Amino acid sequence: MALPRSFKRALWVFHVATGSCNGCDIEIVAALTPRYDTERFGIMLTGTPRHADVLLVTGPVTRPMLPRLKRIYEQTPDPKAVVVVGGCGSTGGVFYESYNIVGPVDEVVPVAVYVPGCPPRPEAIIDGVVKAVAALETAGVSR
Amino acid sequence: MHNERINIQLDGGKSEMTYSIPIGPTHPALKEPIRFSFELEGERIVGVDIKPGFAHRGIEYMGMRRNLIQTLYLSERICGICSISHPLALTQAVEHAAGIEVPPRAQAIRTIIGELERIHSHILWAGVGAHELGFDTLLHLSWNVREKVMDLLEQLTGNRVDYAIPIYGGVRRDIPEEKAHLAYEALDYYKRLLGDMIDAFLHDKSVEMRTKNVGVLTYDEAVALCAVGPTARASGVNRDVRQDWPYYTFADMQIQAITPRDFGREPVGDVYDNIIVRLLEVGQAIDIIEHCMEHMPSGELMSIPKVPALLAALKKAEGEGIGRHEAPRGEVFHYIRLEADVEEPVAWKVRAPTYGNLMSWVPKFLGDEIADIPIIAASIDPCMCCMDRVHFVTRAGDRSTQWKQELVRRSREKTRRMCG
Amino acid sequence: MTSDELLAVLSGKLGGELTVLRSVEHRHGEAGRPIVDLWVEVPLARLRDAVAALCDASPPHITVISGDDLGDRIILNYHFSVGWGTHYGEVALILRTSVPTDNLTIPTISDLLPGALTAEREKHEFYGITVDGIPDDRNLFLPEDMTIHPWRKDEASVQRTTSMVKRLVKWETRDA
Repeated sequence: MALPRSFKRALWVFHVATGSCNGCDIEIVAALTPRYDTERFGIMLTGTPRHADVLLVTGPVTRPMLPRLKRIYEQTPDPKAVVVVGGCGSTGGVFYESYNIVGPVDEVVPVAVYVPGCPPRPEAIIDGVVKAVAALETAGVSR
Repeated sequence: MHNERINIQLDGGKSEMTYSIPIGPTHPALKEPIRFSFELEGERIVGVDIKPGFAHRGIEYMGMRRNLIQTLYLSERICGICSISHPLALTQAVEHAAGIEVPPRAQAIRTIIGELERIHSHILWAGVGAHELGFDTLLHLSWNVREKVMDLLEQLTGNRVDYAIPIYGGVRRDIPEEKAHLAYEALDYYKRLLGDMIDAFLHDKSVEMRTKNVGVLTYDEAVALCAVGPTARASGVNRDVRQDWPYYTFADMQIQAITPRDFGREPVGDVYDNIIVRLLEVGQAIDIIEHCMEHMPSGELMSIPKVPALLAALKKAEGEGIGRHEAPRGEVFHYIRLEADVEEPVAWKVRAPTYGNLMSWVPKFLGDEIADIPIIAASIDPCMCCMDRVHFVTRAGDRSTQWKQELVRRSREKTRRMCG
Repeated sequence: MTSDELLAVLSGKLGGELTVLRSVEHRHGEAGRPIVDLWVEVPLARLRDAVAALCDASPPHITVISGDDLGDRIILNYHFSVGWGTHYGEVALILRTSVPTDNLTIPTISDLLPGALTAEREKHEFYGITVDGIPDDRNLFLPEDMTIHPWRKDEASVQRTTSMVKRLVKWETRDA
């Protein structure tokens, strides 16, 4: 299934925090502000996963957030890509060996792009989202 | 339950006419996604229940299974916005417990980076608050202005967030003479802009209408519920760790807790007072940094420069200590107990400021409207405030799901209504 | 309030049952005056009297209650700060008491100081301590269905349920 052309013009992103320290979350919001300005690429943060094309997931998944993350993934329509932002979502980061963490994110939902860093710079996050779109194009269907 | 001593409804009165909305947890409004449950009579809030714990990672459990240096880096990631506050309190606790001295230059550098963090955090909060009221322009303007201090932090420490500056017994990086001009440039930039920010936030008619007498926390409530930080100072409680129990370079300065009286207003404890206190604290932080830069003591950066020697000293150490720091959100507190020949801390307790301000949400919400939920939740500065999903259940049992957009839409509509 | 005044207030109410563990002065800055933390211990039965004495003298601020599981007893440190509002005016008071592990019950102080409720709920869920008279004893930070107590070091602790503790990063050289 080829991606509709609108993907290159407008990409809506939904952000899910699964227990992160908020460092990555703030850098995601900073990516929208005039210094980095993703809106000129058509990348916008949306308030609901039902309108989203890309899910930005931060945080090692905590036990209470596990069912919510799964549900949000299911609510996002195809084609979609999951971008994990930050070290703790990718591999656990500094959080290993805890009773309340069930991550990392790729054990819960399939992940297309990992953006490492603690936290990654806003430029890296934008790069990650762009790579997610490229991954969608090559894969043809959602992952 | 009605507390007799202080007139606070801790669980809200339930009546036949109320219906309840749960909100969350997917909205990064706190250091944790959080769940609220509001009892409503019409549009008015008559009860609120708060369930945190969605970002509970078991930090203290993990910290007691790592050596102290690993615990230090773990503590930095407790919160990404006040990311130096936890290391500053933790190093203080361990230094008090183990009897490690910190050279004066290191203390000054710790103070400077802590105050730079305060500037970035308060401007961040102001932008987020504006977004909740519907002023996205102010959000973009203030976060653009914030980038200057983020650049300075990166130039001085190497990273925008998580600077890894404090280490037990000192700091890891210096602020050399060659970089001093960068700091002075940034401070001048903010000194010029502070007046404009105060104008944009405090002298704007629509901001005044939306925030005055909204989310009120009275002086007595703030004292009884043990609120900390700007939340308490906005209610007139002049409590500030830098004033009451001065540590690091604050010990040589006369810091005064900022309350709305410094702006010429009798404290009411509403959201407007919170804006006043935080913006004035940006000005105070600029003065503190300037003072520290001008009186920077010379000398070494660490009292135990080599990390293996430090680890050995910490392993031999026995004792307990507390460390306190005035983070942008309030008092951060760490308690630690060390035992000789044990690498891990035997007991570690962290108390972040929002922990102390959790209960002050209850009197703030009671009596206000649904449309005010976003701005009241943001007023104690729980890190980020984008409430995501609101689920309405009416008495008849039919449900409708409303999204963050809906809540923000209601909030903006209220602004338009009030501005006429 | 100075630490001597604070000690006078507490010993006035508790007499010989108050044990002063130590008073520590820390000097920061270059020429700063010392800041003080004061460590005292009271028996569990006199905890409420001590807190009431503090509330009558000067409105205290409770920061948190920290704990330490020593096997046969759990030590609870009530971290107060007394005397905010003036430059160098505050004393950090650590009021310690110990609870025997075979009778984990403490009286609440949330009627004297409502801000202590969060800390008491946390002790209940993390240590399994019953707080007598607490208005709300639901789990606060832990999931509602969690029944084990993470900070205990014995059978009640999380370590016993090895499936609960997850190692996110697999270390080849360290044991599992």
